[in-house]
Amino acid sequence: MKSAPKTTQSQNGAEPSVNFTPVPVVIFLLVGILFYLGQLYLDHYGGGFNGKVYGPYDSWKMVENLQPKGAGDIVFAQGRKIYDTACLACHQGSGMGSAGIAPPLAGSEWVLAAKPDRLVRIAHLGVSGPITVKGVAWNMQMPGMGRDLGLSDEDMAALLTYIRGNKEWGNNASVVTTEQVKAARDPVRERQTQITVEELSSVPDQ
Amino acid sequence: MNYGPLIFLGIFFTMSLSWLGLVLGPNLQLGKQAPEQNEKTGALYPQTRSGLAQQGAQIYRENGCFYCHSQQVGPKGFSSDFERGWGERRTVAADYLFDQPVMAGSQRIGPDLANVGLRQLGDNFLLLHIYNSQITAPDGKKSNMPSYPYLFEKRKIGRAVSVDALKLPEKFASEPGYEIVPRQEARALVAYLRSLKANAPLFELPSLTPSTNVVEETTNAPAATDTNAAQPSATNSTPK
Amino acid sequence: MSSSTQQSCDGSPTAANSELLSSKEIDASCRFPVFVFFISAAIWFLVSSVLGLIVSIKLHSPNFLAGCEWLTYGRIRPAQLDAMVYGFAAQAAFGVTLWLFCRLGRTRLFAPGVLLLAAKLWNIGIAIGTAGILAGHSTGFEWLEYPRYASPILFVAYALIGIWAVLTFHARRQQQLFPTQWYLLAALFWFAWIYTAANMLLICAPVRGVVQICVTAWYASNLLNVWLSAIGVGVIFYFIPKLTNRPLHSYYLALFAFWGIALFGGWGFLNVNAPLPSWIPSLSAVLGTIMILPVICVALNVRGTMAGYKSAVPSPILNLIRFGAFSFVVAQLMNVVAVIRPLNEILAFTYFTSTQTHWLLLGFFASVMFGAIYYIAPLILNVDPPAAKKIRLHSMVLIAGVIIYGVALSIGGIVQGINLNNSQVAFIDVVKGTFPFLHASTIGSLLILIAGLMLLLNLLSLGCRAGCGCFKNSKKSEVRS
Repeated sequence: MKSAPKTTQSQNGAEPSVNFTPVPVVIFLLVGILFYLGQLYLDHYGGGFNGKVYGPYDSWKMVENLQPKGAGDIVFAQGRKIYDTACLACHQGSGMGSAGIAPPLAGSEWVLAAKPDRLVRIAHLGVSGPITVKGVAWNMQMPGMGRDLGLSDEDMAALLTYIRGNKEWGNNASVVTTEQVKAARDPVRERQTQITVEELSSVPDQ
Repeated sequence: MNYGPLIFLGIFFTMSLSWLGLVLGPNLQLGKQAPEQNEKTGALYPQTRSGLAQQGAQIYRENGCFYCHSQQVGPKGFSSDFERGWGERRTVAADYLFDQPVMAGSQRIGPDLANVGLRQLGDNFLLLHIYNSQITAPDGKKSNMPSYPYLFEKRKIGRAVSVDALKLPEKFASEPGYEIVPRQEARALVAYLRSLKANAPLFELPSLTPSTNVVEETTNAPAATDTNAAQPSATNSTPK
Repeated sequence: MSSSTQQSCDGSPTAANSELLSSKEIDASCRFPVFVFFISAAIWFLVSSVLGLIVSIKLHSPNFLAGCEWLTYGRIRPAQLDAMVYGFAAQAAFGVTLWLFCRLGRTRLFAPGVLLLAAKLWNIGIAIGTAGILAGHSTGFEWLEYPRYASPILFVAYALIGIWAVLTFHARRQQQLFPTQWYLLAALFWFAWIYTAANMLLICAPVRGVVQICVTAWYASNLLNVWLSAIGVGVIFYFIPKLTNRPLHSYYLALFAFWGIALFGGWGFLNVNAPLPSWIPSLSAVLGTIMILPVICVALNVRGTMAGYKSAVPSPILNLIRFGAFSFVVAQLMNVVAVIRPLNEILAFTYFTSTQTHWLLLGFFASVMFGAIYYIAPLILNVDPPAAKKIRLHSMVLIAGVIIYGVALSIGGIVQGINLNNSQVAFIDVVKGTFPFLHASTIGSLLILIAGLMLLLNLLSLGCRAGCGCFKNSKKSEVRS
């Protein structure tokens, strides 16, 4: 056992030498293959080396094409922004709500009703007490976001348009106009309490 | 054997390629980025943080929060960042423009914090969480976040309990007659956390599902009968 | 470089004057500075592994030492890693580089006093830096946490050491170069450049916003995958032929690996969705992946050199260095695996990535350096090497520690990543799922700490023996006179 390091010690004088075995051809092949694949990858995920292209967008062209164009788009984007500040915390970005906190908006019959009158009241006044959404019974206190945040009719219309027409959630109901909001909100504009389902049911939604 | 300098330059150039591609290139492209103006609202993004939040960022750095909490989220569909509610959209260069240092982090031993300011957790929750994360861990499960008692002060209760004393649950309460009050550092840290919001709509992140078709009159609403926008309002306003 | 070295450096020196210097004389000239570097490296290894053990315990028992501001996780974690890189790895590398330059160049180390001064400065710089991090003065950039009042000291110390090493290289009498020399020389210049550039761009005149992410990633990958890797691979290419008493398998493979590491090691290994325009992480991933080629070349070269080698008495030093080579391959493959898009989705932000650093720093670099130190220290001190049993025990403790920690957290990271990707698993349950692996890693950390202690004790006992030897010799000469 003790002799092992001693033998190495005895070789200390000579420094190691080197052979000249050639590099296997496979390595050069691999260089070629990896560069080729790398170039394909960059082509696909490189975003054309543009500073404004982030994944999952492929190219500058795609980013530009997806910019909101028509008035509808702008309203939609505005709605999204209001949603993010006012609703997102409870109803979630997926519109699926969160258990024990807020019911889903995606696919909810209250959201998708033909006439938005009930929805306007809910968003303006908030809801108190039991409510059934997609067959599930909830019992929550929703604050009146429209009233509390002082949303204008225009903001409210954009917000509800966004919620009703959000295809990422599977919603595809009609646009809510400022006039509709104004009409539905005027009778309850000064009210300070939340609304209940019994009261809502007297509002037509067809 | 006078290839020395040539070889040296060759090696240096080879090694510098990564600098050219990973430092110089990005700096030329992004180094002069300016805040962007939102077309609709006219607001500039990003905004500098408030003074208190900026102090908080330094507390965040001093205590190395970023070794466990990342501040960067991926796009929807990649990983589960979106589903976990860590971000509505991915984070991009603009979100970090005024950070010094940028603390995007590389680990998720704790949840991502890029949008913690949007989660409406409340000052009290955040203070309790920093004081002792076991208090705020869901369902009484064990969290592995350290506690930071040194950001708080244990004080003898004077005439009355201070307004800003932590409302500790019984199990974690300090000894009777004492209260736990956040120091300036803890307050600043909370202000910083609440300022973490990476949700502004940006040119580089348009919606992937263009909404142009929203204005079309197709609908999946039950019994779509009347989608005419310009409706006489009188018929709608039903008395309560 | 290639044509001049064609005629093999097979140990029969062509320059006549190189025979004038015996290996013993060369070793003796290295004695003080190299040993000081080794002892300081061992001390910092111990400091780092004590901090590492605390870090490891804190990950599953967060309230361990929680009341102490200086010992909170976010401070001891960088202090641990920086002490490991700048305290241990850099100083061990300085010592080994100086000795190898002398040995391979058949020249003496001159004016060692300057190096002793530089060593002192370097250690002061690291001590101040570590204390600064613990006091909360970290700069906030990973791997560059040392506060701005510590970096200039390190810079001056490094300049002295670097200049001395280059001068030693320049004064060589054996003109033909062995591959190890390219690696070490390039590494010397490379650290000076990356350290200066990163400090300039992040601390002196900081770049804006996310460019800081690029610079940090660039610095980290150059530090670990180029600088440390080049040194470690160079040392492997010296010691494997040396210990097996065979020629290095292939000059060309060594050359290929050298250029490969220089070209592809420093591309940052960024996350696919780092908040950067997509070309940056894509380019980083593409070029980082090619790093696989130099790694294959290193593996082939080590295998070729070792092929058919059998020894009646396996050398524990050789074992350490072979384990180092194995860990190098593991660490670099982990790096490559983690940037591949579908795998990045799972592995980014998990313990898998931090364990990659562990394989590289401890599995690869520390093993290689421990082996080199055990080989070199007795020579420069002119004493008998420690008993093979001692070295073997030490190497087994280190290797066991590295493997337990590395395997536990690599798997733990994968489990963590899979859970993180499943939004049905609440975050607190993701954390819970990692606890068994974290507990196991603590055992590994403890073993690494013991290994650090053993290295320091063995080195100290060597130093004592050398000291006694000197004392006896001087007594003898006194008696004679």
